[in-house]
Parts: sequence; structure tokens; C-alpha cells
Amino acid sequence: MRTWTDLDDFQDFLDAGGMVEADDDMPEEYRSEVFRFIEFHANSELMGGLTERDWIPHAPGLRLKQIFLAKTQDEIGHAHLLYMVAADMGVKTRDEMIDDLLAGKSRFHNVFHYRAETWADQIAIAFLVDAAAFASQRAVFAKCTYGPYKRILRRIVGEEGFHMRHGEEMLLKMASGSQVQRDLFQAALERWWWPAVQLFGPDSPPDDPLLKWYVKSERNEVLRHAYVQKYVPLLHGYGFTVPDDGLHQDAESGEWIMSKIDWAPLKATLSNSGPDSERRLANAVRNHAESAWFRESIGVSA
Amino acid sequence: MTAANIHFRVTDVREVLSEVMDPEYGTLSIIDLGIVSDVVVEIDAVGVTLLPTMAGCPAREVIELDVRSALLSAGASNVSVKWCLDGSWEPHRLSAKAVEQLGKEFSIAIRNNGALPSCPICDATSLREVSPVGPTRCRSVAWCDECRNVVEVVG
Repeated sequence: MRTWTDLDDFQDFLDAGGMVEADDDMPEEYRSEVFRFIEFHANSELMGGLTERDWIPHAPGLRLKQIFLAKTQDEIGHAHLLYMVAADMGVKTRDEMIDDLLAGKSRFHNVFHYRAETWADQIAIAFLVDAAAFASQRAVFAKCTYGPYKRILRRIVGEEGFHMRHGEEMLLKMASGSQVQRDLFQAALERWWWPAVQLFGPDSPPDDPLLKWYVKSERNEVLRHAYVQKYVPLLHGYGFTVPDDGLHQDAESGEWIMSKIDWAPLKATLSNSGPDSERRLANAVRNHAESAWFRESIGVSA
Repeated sequence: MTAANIHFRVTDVREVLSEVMDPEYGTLSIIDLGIVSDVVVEIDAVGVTLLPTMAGCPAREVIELDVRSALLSAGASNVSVKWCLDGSWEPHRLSAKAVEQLGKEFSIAIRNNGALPSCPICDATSLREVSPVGPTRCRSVAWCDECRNVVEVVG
């Protein structure tokens, strides 16, 4: 177990590339910020997994059902690992985290507060949202000073990277399909583009503790900008229209510049009052109640 | 009948396959993971038999595609890829490099004749199984009471 005299001493340790382990006497500020971050990630994996699961019966064909089954297992499994590490930090127990999530008292990613209306929405999610989540997780993994979290992220990043291949493949199928399929995807793109872009969050505050402590390695706006530079040309290449009237290419740098982002939708999701938050949470509550018998049979609570 | 494979030997094919990476663990090849069970080279065809870690492995299709395109771009013709589904993949098929890398880089331990191995992170014999499956069906989830890390276990 290592101890530090004060926050400056701790900062020197992190600046020198130090990694914090579970039994270290870390500053409470660090413990609570890292805990909140992992809890948010765990909640998001769980809520995301429940969405993937809802689409297994609707996936067209055995192969896609198998893929969605495996993705569901990945996401729920990731939540399981993350809750273990979060609970070990001693801030909240696993039961408390699950109870808070189901009671609408904690947060999860904005993208899981919207409704997937058609199969094309699932493809937009796999292509756009999974890619945004992957970029943001990869940027956390790049530094991530909390060892037990970084070790899980190593595997999560690998698995999410694999999901992206499915997203690309499914999009290619839609893009090269009939006009009806292309129209379905265009409509889904209009629903999911802004949530995907907003997944990175508003510009990082100048004194963001998560950056200072190297939990995150990159500012939100930098990740968001890189994402837009990659995905706008890809979507254009497939012949789709990005739903942003102000989107243009800078004459000098060639960079894609978006319209000013309206952050009100993101803020609504953070207080669990997004367009589909209520139904999603009710589904999660029902799922938790319906699977209680199974948890009891294997002797665990949450 | 084309004689396009006349310059190919089984070792050449295996060399090409050693560059085909696992879709999730991009630093380990399918040779290292012991997924390649048989290679046959004939004048007019190259046959590869693969052994999935589990019959229901969701990565099968992508691996097959990667094997095919790697061999075709190396100049092989008429490539046929088969999956052997009798469930005979065992952890001992992993190369020493794979075992080392799965442990050190991915915190994935390999079961020892059915027994829990030591922790790949701190080497203590303090792993405790938490659940029989986790994010994938081919690994169980364990917790190390010594270094307090999550470890996934193969086998």
C-alpha cells in the first residue's frame, strides 16, 4: 500500500507515470471521481446491453441474431466486470449502484435515452454510436491511471473494436440495398447523428480533474472533432446526408466544421428525462425483477 | 485446372496465417491461439481447417473471411476454409507466447487441468471464481483477493 502526503505529492506520482492500485491509500477526491466514472461506464454497458437484447428477436436472420446475442453478452459481461471493480473502491456496494440506477438516481450514456425505432436504428447505433463509444473508451485506456480499470478496458476496447466491424458490414449492406433500405438508414441517421456526436460530452472544463489525473487522455472536444472528421466523409461516401445544415468544410484546412451544438438534449438525458429514459428505466426495472429468481438460485443479490 | 499453388508449401500457408490476427486481440495470431488445426496444399486448392474455441464463437465468420483474404492476397487460389465443430479446442493449443501475452497484457489466465491458476497480475494463488461466464462464453470470471483485480479464465 502506498500513501501520499497531499494532493501535490499524488500529482507528482501521476505526472511521473505512476499507476494507482486498489490497496493504495489514494486521495478521497481521486477515489470518488474515478468511482463515479467507472459507475457511469458500468451503468452504460448494462443499459446498452438491455437495448441490444431487445433487438435479438427482430434481427433479420440467424446470423445477425447470433451477433446480437454475442454483443448482448459482451455488454452485460462488461457491466459485470466494471461493477466488481467499482464496488471494490468502497464508495457504494454493487446493490447500491444497481438500486440507484433503477431508481433513476444515477447516470448513463446519453445514447441510451433515445428510442431505436427500426432495424436501421440498430445499424446506425452499431455504426455511429459504437464507434463514438469506442473512440472515447480508447482515449481512457490510453492513460487511465487506475490499474484495475485499465486492465478491464484493455479487453473491452478489443471487444468493442470487433463490434465496429459488424456495424460497418451491416451499413454496407443497407447502403448497397434497395431505395427503401437507404431511406430507412437515412431516417435513422437523422435520429442518431446528434446523439452520437454528443456522446463525447461538451468541451472539457480547463481544470477537468479526470484529465489532470490522467484518467482521460484527451479533451472531449478533441475526440469529438476527430470523430466528425472521420465519419462525415464515410457517410458521404456511402451517399447519405449528415443532418446538419451548417456542416461545411473549412476552405483552408479542409476540416469539417459543424453547426453550433445544442446541448439541451444532452442535459435532459443527464437528469434521466430524455425522450426514452422513462421507458428504458422501466424496462430495466422489469428485467431486474424478472431475473431475481436466477440471482437467488446462484446465491448473489445483484 | 490452374496450377497457381505450385509455389505454395504448407509452411508458407502457415506463415500467411501467422499474420491473421484474432479480431478482438489484435496482437495474437490465429496460429498462436491454436485455432488452425490443419492445412492442406494441392495444386489446384488450399484447404484450411479451423478449430473454434467454442462452437458458437461469434468471431467465426470474420476469422474465416480474414483467412480467405490473407491467402488470396498472398497468391493462393481456390481457398477453402472449414470449421471443425467437434469441440476439441483445448487451452494447451495456445502457444507459449499466447499464454504469456494473454496473462500479462489482457489479464486472462489459463486453467490448469481444471484448477484455477495463479493470478496473472500478481502471481498469488488467490483467484476465486465469481461467475462461470462473463463477456464471452469461452471464459469465466474470477477475482484476485490479493491484488483486487478482475481476471478472466480460459478453459
